This record gives sequence, C-alpha cells and structure tokens, in this order.
Amino acid sequence: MSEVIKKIRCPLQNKKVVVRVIISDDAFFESINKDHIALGGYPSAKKTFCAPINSITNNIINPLTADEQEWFESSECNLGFKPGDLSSLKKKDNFWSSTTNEIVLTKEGKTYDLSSPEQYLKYVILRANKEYIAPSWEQRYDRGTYMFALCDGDEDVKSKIKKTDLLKDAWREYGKIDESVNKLYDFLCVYYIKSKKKDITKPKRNMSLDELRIEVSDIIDKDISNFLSIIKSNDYHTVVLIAKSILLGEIIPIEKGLRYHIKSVDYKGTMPEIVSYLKDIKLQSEKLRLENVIDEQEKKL
Amino acid sequence: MQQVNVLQEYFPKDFYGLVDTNHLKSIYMLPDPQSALDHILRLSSVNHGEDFQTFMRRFGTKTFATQDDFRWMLQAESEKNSPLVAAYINGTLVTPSDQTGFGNTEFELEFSEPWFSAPAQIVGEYNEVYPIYVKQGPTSFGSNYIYTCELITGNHNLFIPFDQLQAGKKFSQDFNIVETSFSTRGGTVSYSSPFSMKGVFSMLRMEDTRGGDMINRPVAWSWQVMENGRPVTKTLWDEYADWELEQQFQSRVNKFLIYAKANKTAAGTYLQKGDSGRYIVEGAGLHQQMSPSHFYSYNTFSIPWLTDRILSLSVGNIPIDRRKMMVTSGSWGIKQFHEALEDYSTIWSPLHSDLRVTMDKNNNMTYRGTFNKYIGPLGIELTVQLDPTKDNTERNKIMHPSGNGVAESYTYDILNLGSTTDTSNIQICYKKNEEIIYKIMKGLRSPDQLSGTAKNPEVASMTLDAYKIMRATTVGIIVYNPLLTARIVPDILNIS
Repeated sequence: MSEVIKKIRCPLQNKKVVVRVIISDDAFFESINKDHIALGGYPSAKKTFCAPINSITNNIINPLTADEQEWFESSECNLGFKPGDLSSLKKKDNFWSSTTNEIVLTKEGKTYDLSSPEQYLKYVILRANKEYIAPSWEQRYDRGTYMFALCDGDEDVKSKIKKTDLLKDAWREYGKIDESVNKLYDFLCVYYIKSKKKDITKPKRNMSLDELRIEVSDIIDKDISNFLSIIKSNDYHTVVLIAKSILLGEIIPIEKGLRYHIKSVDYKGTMPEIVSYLKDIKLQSEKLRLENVIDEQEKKL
Repeated sequence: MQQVNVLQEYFPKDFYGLVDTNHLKSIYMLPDPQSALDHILRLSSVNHGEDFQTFMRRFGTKTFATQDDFRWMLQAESEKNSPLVAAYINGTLVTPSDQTGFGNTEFELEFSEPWFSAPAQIVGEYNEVYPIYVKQGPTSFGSNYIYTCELITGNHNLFIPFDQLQAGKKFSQDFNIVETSFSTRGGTVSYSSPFSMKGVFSMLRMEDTRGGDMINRPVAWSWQVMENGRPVTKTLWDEYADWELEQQFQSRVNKFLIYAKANKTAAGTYLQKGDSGRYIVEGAGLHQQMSPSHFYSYNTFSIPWLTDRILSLSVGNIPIDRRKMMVTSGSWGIKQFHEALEDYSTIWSPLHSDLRVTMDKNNNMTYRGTFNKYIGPLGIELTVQLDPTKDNTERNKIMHPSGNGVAESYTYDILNLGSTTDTSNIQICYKKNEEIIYKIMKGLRSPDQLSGTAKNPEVASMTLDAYKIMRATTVGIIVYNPLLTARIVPDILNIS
C-alpha cells in the first residue's frame, strides 16, 4: 500500500504587518495639547502581550492554527521544533507561557516581516489578542479595549494620513501666493538658496505667472516638507530679503553655505544669526539698504 | 434570587428611593413579637477591608482653594538620543559606495532638532567604534538642523558604513572635547522643556428622602457599629438609612477615584449636560491616568517574570534606593503572589524551618505564614496590599476561568506611591471645605426637630411630611508621574 504524503502548506507570507498604537478620540491629554507626550502612551511605557487564556477552559489558547502548528513543527520550518513542542497545553516548558514568550510594544509600534518564521510566531501572539489588538486599522474603534491595530505594512497608514494633512496645508499656503508674480518669485528665491539640491535652477525675474505657478507646484509635489517649512516660517519676509540679497551678491555664502557674510557691514553668521541681525531694531539701516538695492535692481529688469 | 436553604423564610427584595412603613411591612422589617432575629447578616459584603480612600489618605491628600482645573508639570530627561534624518558629503546625500569620514574628511549630519552643539563628540549605535567630532552646528536647514562633522580618530582608514547613516539611526552626545589651551568655545547645555498635565474636579452627589413616619422607627433587627472604639447596637430605620447612605456614597466615591473616565473632548469641551443645563465634568480616575504608562498581561504568573517587569519599570526611572513599591491586588491575586513566592523560595532553599508549623498543648497543629513581601535584585522591594475593590463581584462581572473569584482579583496595580521627593506620587484632592458636604432639608417632620410653638415655630424648607439628606463631595485624583505605575492583568480572552 502506498503511503499518502501530506504536503504541509507554509503559512509564511511575503508581506509586512505594522502594529500601530491607537489614539483614542477621548484622549484627555489631547485637550491639553494635541502633541502631548502622553498621547498614545508615554514614549518609554511598555505594553506586553502574551498568548491569551481561554475564559472557559482556563488553558492558554494556541495562537497558531492546526496547519500552522504542523508546519512550524516540521523540518521544513527549520526552527528546531518537534511535533508537540508548540502545543499550548504543555504543563512544562510551554512555548506560549508569558514567562518565556511575550511581545513588548511601545507607542512607536513595531513591524513584523511575515516571511520570517521567528517574526511570524510573534505576530500570531498579537493576532490572538482579540481583546487588545484590532485586526485592521479600519476596525480600530470597534472595541473600547483595543490598544493597537494590525496594519498592512504595504499601506503605511500613518504616512498616508500625514501626507494628506501636509498636502492640505501646502495647497492652503499656495493659495495665498499663487495670484502674485512677486510672491511666487520670492518663494522660489528662498527655495533656491535654502535647498541643497543641485538640480534646482535659479529663478528668473522675467518668468510668467504660469511658469512660476508650475515651478512652485512642482516643489509641492516633490519636496512638500521644505515648501511648508519655508512658507510657514515666522521670519519668512526677512529670509526673502536675505535670499534676494544673496542672488544679488550683497550677502555671500561661506563655509559651504553653512554661514553667510554681509559684505557691507562685514558681519558673518549662520542663517538664524543673519535673520536676527536684520531684524534687530537698532540695525535697520542695513535692512533698508538691502531693500533699496533689491528694489533698484528689480526696476532695471 | 435562589433560596439559600430550606431554613430561609423570606426572599430579599431590592428597592430604592423613598421608603415608608408599607415598604418595611412588605419585606417583614417591622417589629414582630415572634421574630427570632437579633442581628442582620449580609449574604455578600464588599466592606471587608480598608477602602481606597482610607488607604490613600495614609499618603496625604491635597486641598485646592477653588474648583478650577489643576495642572502639574513633568520634566523629560535632559539626556536623550536623536534620530538621524540624513547624511551628506559636501551637500550630497551619502550613497552605499561612499566611505563617509574616510581619511578624516568632513561630512554633514542632519537632525530634526538642535539637540547637540559644537564642539561635541557624538556617537551612533556602535558608540565609540565611530566617534564623531561635531565641528559646526546646529545650522538651520529647512525645518531641520545640519552639523558639520568628522571622525575623531587617528585611524585614517576608518569610515562610517552606509548602514549606520540611515534615517532613524540614533545618535547621542558623549562629551565636549576642546583644544588643550586657548580654546574659545565649549558645548552648551541641552534642555528638555517640561510638559503639562491637567486634572479636573468632579462633583459627586447622592440624596435620600425619608418620610416623617420613618423618624425613630424601630425595625425588627439590629446591627452594630463602632463608635469611639466601642461597638454600639443600632435599631432605628433612620440610623440604618444614614449608615447605608454613607456606605454607598463612599463606595461610589471610591469607584469614581479608581475607574472614572474623563469626558472632555479633544477640543477641550464637554458634551453631557445635567438637568440644570450646565455641563457634567468627569475627571480621569486612577486607571485612566495610569493607562498611558506600563501595561503587562500574563498567562503564567511567576516571581522571575514579575521581577523582570518591575526592573523594566524601574531602570532609568527610579533610583536604586527608592524601589520600594506597593502592589495592590485582589484576594486571589495575593494568594497567587504568595504561592509564586513560596515556589520561588523553595528553589533556593527548601524550607526546613519549623517556624511555619506550631502545636498547642492539645496537640492541635497549625501551618502558618503568608508571603506578602519580596525583596529582589537591584533594590526591588514589593509589598502586596489587599484592594477589596478588585474582589467586588457586583462591579467585576467577568469571572476568572479557574472558577475562583473574578478576573479583576488577579490584577496587580503597581503604585509607586512614595518616589517623589516631598509628596506621594498619587493623591486624592478635594476642594477646600468640600471634602464632606452633608446637608439636610427639613419638611413637616425631621429627625432633629425642635418643639416648635406658635410663638416660636421651627423653620421648614418644604411642605412635605418628609426630610431629605444630601451628601456630596468635590473630588479628583492626581497621578503625578504615571510612569512610576503599572497594571498587570491576566490575559483572558472571553470565549462566548
């Protein structure tokens, strides 16, 4: 009689799962400050999870399905487990006991590579914690007990949400300058000076409104964080003055652009120091001089 | 309710609100010459230990002059590491083929915050293997900061591998080294701004209206209370009602202090309104304030496992000489702790001591001794204290699958109560003069009525032949540093 050889299906998958902390809508820390350090847990606070106990039998629930257990205990898995080693009913040396196997999470979350057998065994513990871990980001509010959610690693929810917020913010700021040739040009001058990218071309004063709009919207598409940090800077108007002065050679970048030199007054400093210098109420003559030079130069064009 | 046994004559009835003679008659609580009962016994009692408020008062309470929100500040560590945003060589992002820092050449590191200041020696994950000298910086770069660096080493062949310059790799400051003479500058101090915590007061109120005919009404049973250290027998309905009101009020205040969940929205507003049209303000109780801190679930309890948890809570947070912690648990949790400690102690030294076995003159033998304190490594000292609320079968409805007690009885709250310098880490707070609000509204008859006359009538507050007792308090709780606390819970999955 021929023996039937059962093929054990490998449960490993070529994907990643990200465990993300759930910030409850009623988080009372948020009412103090939306960036409060305790929102979602203190950074150093640890949350540990283990294979849960069955509320009826008082036994540890095996987080693996029968098929998964069979594969992990087979020679194909290569983790050295023998049949029965991963049983959750073992009285001694139980692999699933919290004294030997638990998951430690912080608010930073964690990523599990499901193609790795070791990481898959960690992931299944979280999967089995149906009281505390939501099976997906969309289901995170389905139970009040959920602390974390299992998210598809390919769909980085956090970065998606962040990007949407940034885009919303960026286009709002863009709306404040997109009707003005001067305002668009001012921004491009600052971006040109502040960006260290070599493929950025120097803005020209004779660019049309549409050309300027295309340039700035390209920057929003490709470098949104720098667009926002420049346009939302409290010192934006002073930085515009500095950028235009640099383009006219009135202020010269030194030390690989880490510091700047105002030629006429022989003052050297980093960008924040130059900004402070030009904002100093006692030194307004230099600021007025630079503004005059820029006005004169732009009238000629 | 099921009959306890065949000797049970009446079934208990639950009722609330206004109680008059008819109620008592209907539940056989008026005097009966044939009654054999002297004292009433409760079938189940939650009043079997020190309650939360009494326990916490040992560590002092805090009183505020007004009912306004109260704030306290916590300070983050002034030493921390900072994740790298990007690394450049001459302004160009490093690539896998770059040998960053080779031959003591310059490179730039970008961080999201100006945490270091030149001159400084900083190190990445491999610490002193790649010591980095910060020559210039921080220089603002968009919303980030750039530092000009080089490797501080005599080894010209050393360079930082590409994988150690990936975004997210953490860097920390070691020290500020300068030239041995004629130095012109030094490293600066790093500050971490404190962050604010806020609590609110809530008002809790109960009231009880009693009919005029219930004043000095004897009932068929009596009970004993301690007055001035002596047991005093009580037999009147209003005395019983007073006692019941106070018991239930204190029990509800205790529940508020432990379990309350703040109802403030993220926008800082409240949504629920009372009959008056004004907002109901519920502050965060002990558990909610502990919730951003440590949470450990278990399926197997052991002392080495507990030690690991306590160490992970303590290391870097609590000085070694202050790791004396109070752990509160239910009766079954304390039993579990005792058994785990007993098991653990026998690993090291079988208990040959005869201290645990005693015999009296009649040859009756007793086995004794409960483990409730554990002194572990690195200054850990745990004392277990019974928290009767964890055994409360009325509030805690989920039973432990072992069949012994409720699941909550197996939870452990680590309350590092005394780690702050001048005050307890957890305090109950009251509004000044509002810890105990106890008022009576008199009707036609009231318990302390005077013999009013036509010439000198006693003032009544309502026309009803009744009086009303009102009990209230303005209360809140502060967990000053939640990171010094933790919850340990059995990981039970409800299989239905």
